[in-house]
Amino acid sequence: MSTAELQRRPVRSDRRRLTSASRVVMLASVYAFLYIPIIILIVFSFNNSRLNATWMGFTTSWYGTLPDHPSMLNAAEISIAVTLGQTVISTVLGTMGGIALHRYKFPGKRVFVYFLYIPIVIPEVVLAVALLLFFNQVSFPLGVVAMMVGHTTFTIPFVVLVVRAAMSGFDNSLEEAARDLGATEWQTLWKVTIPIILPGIIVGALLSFSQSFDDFTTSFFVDGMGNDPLPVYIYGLMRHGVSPVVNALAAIILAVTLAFALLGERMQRVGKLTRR
Amino acid sequence: MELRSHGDVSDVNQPRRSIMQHLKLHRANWMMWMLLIPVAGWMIVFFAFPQLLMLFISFMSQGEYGGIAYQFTLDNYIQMFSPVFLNVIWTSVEFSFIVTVLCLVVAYPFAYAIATASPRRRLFLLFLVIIPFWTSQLIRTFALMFLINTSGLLNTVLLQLHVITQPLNLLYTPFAVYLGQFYAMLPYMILPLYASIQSHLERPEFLEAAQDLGANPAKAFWTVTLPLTTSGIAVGSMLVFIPTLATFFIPLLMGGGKMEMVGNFIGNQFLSSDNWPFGASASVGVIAITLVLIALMFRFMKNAFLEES
Repeated sequence: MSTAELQRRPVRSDRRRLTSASRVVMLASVYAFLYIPIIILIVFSFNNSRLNATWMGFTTSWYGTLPDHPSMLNAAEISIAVTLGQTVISTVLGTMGGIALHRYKFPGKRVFVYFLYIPIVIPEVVLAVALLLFFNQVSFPLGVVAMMVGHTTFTIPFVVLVVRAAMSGFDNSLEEAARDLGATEWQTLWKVTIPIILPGIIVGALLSFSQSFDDFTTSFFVDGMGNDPLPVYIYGLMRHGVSPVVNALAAIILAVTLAFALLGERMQRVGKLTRR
Repeated sequence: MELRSHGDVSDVNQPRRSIMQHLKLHRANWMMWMLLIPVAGWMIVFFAFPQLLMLFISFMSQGEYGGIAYQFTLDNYIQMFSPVFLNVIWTSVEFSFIVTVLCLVVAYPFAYAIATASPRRRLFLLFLVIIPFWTSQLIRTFALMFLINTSGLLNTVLLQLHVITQPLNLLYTPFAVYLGQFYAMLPYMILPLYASIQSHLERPEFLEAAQDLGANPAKAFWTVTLPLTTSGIAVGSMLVFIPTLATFFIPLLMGGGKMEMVGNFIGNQFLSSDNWPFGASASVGVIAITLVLIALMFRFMKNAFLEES
């Protein structure tokens, strides 16, 4: 016993050796690298100076001046319209697809699943130029609807993925029970299946929302003239030099996307807990 | 109604009927088509069809005024071997390779440090990695631009500390593009490495054996830990390399369009150069390369999984 313990000790001390100062420094510096730029961006959105670099005191006035820029309001409206529209479409279609893929077997299912997931893995710029080409060839006008279509196309696979995952613990006998009790297919879907996987559907919707809201690449190609959503609008502003207004806007987008992502994470956990 | 009449618990046919129903649940019916057709239709019209159109256009000629002339040609694919395009490809491959190596070098000890932390702290440290993972990549890039531009905080601080006498022109340089891509990709390397190192540390037999046989910690690391975490290295490297290869907005924002990766090159063919057919062939090439790399990655993951079990 004692020899075995002796032999094991070196490994334990190896684990402990990294607890030294160098390890703390290393952890701290990588976290600092990851977080400092974001923190500075947010802190300086409250800086009481037009020049961005030195701290002149706390103010919320940059947030207050946001509505004074009509072009910014326009960009915000476009962002919200595109994101809400595409979230509804991608959530509905993705949920239907996710349920169908869980429930049914059909020839070519594997290929179909691969096909659905390809947009997740191929570079977004390639999806974006293909859509630009498509809209151009069918003479579909670029703008809000084109962006909605583009965003929906790359968010649907994520919703399908999340809904399928939510259904993986789904007990098929619940649907059978509903039908034994005389429910139609339609009633089973609405009164049994959907309520049970609702947390998963909401997670999919939140994910879809945050991906669309901060999308740059697809919007950049298919937004057309004068329809810049917030990310593309900020890109334009940044090219003319920085201003605390940009910080304030960026901080808002950051807060929105992060809130939606964290909420989604929370929901996912709740969903897992309630299933047990 | 029919179902109810059979619903007697003492029914002898009960088990068989239930199996039949189970099968019915999985067989194609009108409900399946109703659920499947909208999503399939959408993805066929707005994803598959545009890609096929892209393939078609990649075999067409460039029109006189930048449009598309509907004449078959292989020129666009031949043009992919022109020095200009090969140079772009080389820039992208070199860039992706360097970014991947940088991420690996920084992420490995970092992931190792997290994996060796106490279980409770580990969860928190991991959570701190996942937050930037969820944070908008675009806003994170803006944050870097804000930090390193000529009148930005970094220059101001360095000037005030008299480290430099003139502001450094960091933004809109290749350095900035490397920094931006590294910053965006680092979490993608940390997470798979952490998973792999963590599962390796949970089975210390190999490391113990190496040390029993007299290997010093450095040797044990190189001969045991590193080979046993190859799957994490492979997956992490792929997760960084593939998106970096066709990265678009980071070179555009951080490099000011001066450093042209293949993603920007494709974009420019459609926006400023107006050579859509060539852009199309380059795009087809990028998709082909990406799919091959993804297949390779899944091969690695599968192998890793087989080793585990």
